Amino acid sequence: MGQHQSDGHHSQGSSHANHASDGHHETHHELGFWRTYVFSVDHKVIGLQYGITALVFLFIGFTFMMLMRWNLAYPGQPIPVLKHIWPYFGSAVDWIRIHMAGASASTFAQESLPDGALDPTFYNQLGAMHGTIMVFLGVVPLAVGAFGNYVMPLQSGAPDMAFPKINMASYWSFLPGGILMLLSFLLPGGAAQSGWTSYPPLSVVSPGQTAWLIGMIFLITSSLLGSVNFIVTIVQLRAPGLTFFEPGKRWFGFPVPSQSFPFFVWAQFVTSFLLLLAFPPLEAAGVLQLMDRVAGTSFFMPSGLVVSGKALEYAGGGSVLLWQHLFWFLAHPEVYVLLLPAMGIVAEVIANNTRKPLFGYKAMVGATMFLGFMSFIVWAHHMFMTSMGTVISAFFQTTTMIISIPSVIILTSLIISLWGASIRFNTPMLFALAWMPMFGIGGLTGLPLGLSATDIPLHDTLYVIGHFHYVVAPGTIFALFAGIYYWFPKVTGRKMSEKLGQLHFWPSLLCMNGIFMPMLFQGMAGMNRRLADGGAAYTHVQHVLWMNELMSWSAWILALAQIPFIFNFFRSIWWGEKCGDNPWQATTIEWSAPSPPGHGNFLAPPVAYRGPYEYSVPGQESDFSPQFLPDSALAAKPAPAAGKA
Amino acid sequence: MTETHAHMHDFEHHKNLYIKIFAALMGLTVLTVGAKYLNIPIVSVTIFIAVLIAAIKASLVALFFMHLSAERKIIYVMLILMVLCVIGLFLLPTAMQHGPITGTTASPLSVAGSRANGAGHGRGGEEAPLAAGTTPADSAAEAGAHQLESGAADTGAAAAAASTTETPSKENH
Amino acid sequence: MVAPAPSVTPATLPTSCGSDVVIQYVDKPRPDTGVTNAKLGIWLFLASEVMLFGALFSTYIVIRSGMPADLWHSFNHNADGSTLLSIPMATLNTVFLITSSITMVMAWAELMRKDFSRHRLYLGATVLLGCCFLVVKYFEYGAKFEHHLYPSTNNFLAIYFTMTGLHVIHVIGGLLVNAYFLFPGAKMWMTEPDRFTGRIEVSGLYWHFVDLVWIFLFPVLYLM
Repeated sequence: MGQHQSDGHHSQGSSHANHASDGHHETHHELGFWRTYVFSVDHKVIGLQYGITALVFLFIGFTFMMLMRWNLAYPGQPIPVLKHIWPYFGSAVDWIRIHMAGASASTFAQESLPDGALDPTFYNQLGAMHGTIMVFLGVVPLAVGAFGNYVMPLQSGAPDMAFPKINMASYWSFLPGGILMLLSFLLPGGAAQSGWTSYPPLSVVSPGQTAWLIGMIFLITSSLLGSVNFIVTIVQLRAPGLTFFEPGKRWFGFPVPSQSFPFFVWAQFVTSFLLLLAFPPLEAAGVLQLMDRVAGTSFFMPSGLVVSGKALEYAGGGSVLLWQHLFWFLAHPEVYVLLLPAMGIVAEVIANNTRKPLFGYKAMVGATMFLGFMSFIVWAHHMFMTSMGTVISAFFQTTTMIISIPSVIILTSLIISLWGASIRFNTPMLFALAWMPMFGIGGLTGLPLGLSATDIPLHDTLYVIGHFHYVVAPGTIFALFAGIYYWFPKVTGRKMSEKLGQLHFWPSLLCMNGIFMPMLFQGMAGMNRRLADGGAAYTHVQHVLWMNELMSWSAWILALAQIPFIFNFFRSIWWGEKCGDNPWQATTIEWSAPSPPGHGNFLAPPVAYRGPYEYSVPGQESDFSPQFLPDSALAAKPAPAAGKA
Repeated sequence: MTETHAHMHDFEHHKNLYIKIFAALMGLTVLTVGAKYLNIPIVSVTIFIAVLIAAIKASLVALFFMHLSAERKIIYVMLILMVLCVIGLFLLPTAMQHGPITGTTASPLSVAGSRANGAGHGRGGEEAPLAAGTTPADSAAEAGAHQLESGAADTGAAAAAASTTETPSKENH
Repeated sequence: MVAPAPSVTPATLPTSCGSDVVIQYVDKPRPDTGVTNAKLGIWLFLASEVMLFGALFSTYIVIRSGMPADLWHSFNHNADGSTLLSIPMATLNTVFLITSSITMVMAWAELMRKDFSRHRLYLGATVLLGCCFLVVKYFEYGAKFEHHLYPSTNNFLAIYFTMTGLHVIHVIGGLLVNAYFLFPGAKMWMTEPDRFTGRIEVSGLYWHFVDLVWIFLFPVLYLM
């Protein structure tokens, strides 16, 4: 892997895809700007497009939450600064609504921030869109679209995705869906306001929902195209030497995973199956709800529904619970879509920085597959309050308790991997280490919700919010940050600053807990979720109201804590410390490619000669034996062989 | 598989097979339509016959037209995963079998604080958090479920409710 | 811990011609899995489609079983006891789709023995039969609308229009793909015959699936 650094093609920025460097290519057509950076079929460019878009959406979703948190801490009080700017913004929205969306009149500023204070309806819109954006437009695209697209083919030794054009279509289906979601604020009546779960009948009769549903159909199509691509790429385009199972070996009749693929690839593989098989029921549900709204059907509309004293013009006979079943049939596997890539990233970072093989790799892979399968039959634990009957409840309780076992296997394996290691505490490792207790808290607080008896008092309280935010906010986003810091050198050829990284990490860790820990207490005190005034009207939660201010300030300081990250990110793209192909002295195949990898990824077709985590192999001089080097290369050059620039 | 099919004599063999399958599918179509016109009084028997014939037809298409009778192992593995998930999916109606869903309630369920249309939002005060300050989607939906379950499930009530909504309803014809 | 080096030798270098990286196994199956990329891809896609239609069939069961039997009967029958939906029309459509399935598989079989002109004949027949299906569906929908029977009328019609509508969208999608391979896409036969045969096979798999969905829709909506 040497001579690529040639021809000074490090044009900066995050997209260097199309530089067919060395003499491998007989012809070298320069693609134009549009084909290189916008309508690119290169998995790396698409991965970066996903990544940047997802980070922007995460920022937008976070902004919504910061607005909401003002009203939770100081209900009914005007928002400082914003109250002066908002009328100008409002008149722009009014202009769009009247001239482009066909509204006869619009008073957006007055509807959303009357006198500078947040309107409860607008609060609902922000809440619904915060959830939707964070889950479907932020974390999933970042975890699967960005890391999956960029890293997975490199780790599997593939030159690109199996279907590059479908990969492009996936992104260009995702982006319109996301933009439509955002633009729905400009529609008369505003954005969807029934929560990210969109429970009918409220969602069917609320404005903004149609745009939400159409946006979701775009996003589901995008993830469908992506997941087919991922699975085919892993199965068909993996490098020689990468295998799934040990031939002929059985453990209680089950195939035994072979020490071959990096855990991250396994995680993406299982995730793709979840996306492939769990999203279609939501697509069906989305179509049905769209029919309810547009064609006036009554799939989710019960008979005799009266809204605001007016009988609804629906034939009736539908079932509101049907939506919940279909929605959670997707949305529980969706949790693992968020989690598994995060676990994959953490596993990579931990193995690399402990300089040890992962403990229990095979058990982890087996647990991942079991997790994926079980996630399809636990969905109704979100619905214990819907009078399912004891038999059904007992079934779903049991499956829910069972599904916690594989999660614990993975987490425990990662913790034991730390045992006896001389750990390198760099920024990715800090985030990966912090991920473990954060995910642990998220997982453990979930257990009371999975048992129907304890779920009854906790259901729909802030406890639920605290629980799943521990899972998806620090529990996933910390892993994603670890991934950004870890693979940044591969993408740009430069390292991010360690000092700024630490400045990002410590306040983030503190503030994340400052936001979500009090939620658990408030929830146990009986405070409902989705209260625009933060529970001020509830007499029984007055003693925990003071926490609202703590949580809000934590959220705003968390925003400030992201400034070092953003600065670090952009500074490092251009002025970061230059590093070689393998700055972390890692073993997996992506580090054999040039940094940044050119079109086609590898200079020579990679072969996996050994397992993915051969760190500190006894008898070897070097403390890492890369997967991509033959034994002869290791014997001849026991010193760091791949790390040369 | 590709190679094995490439031979000429194989072609004639496969052509004959496809024609046989085609004839079987046509025959089964006639059978299933014929069974309908028998007007079997027991609904479950009608359903059983129709689904059975459809399953046979679908298997023929999948096995021979889609060549599942001689496919690679990886496709089977993948389809087994799918079948497991489909079983999960059909758990769904089972999980919902806890009472009729069409029955109407004696007093119509009203959704507090929701707006039927975009125009004219009524804003609730802070003292009524569930009415305006929240999205009571979950609670409302669940409350609906409880009410519906307890409601009487007789056809007459449903028909009456349907007619009050002033939507053309088939049973009124 | 060091596993023995795999005996597999590196495959030939995926060459790049500037704009496109050459992806392996687009025309020939990968030796150890035995399938091409497209074939695995289409089966994954079909698995996903099974879940989509499976969810709709689940919905059908929920809606129907949540309704008293005589109410359901009143929804899908006329006052004189005849069925609301036209069984003859649906039977005709079943015949069209089943026939188009066999022409599709023949179009592929003819390609396998390198008879391109007969392949086009069969593929053309497939497209034609698909269009016939759409024409019948047009008249069927038209007749319903004429009698003021809309999706909003009742939940039987709602599920009928939703399921058949989604199926019709799938039929149109298949027709577009087949029409593409019939005309502009056919030139690939000259340059990459194996890949083109693979494409017809994949398109055929999708078309058979559309047929398969109809095989279930027909009894479920018309005969039960």
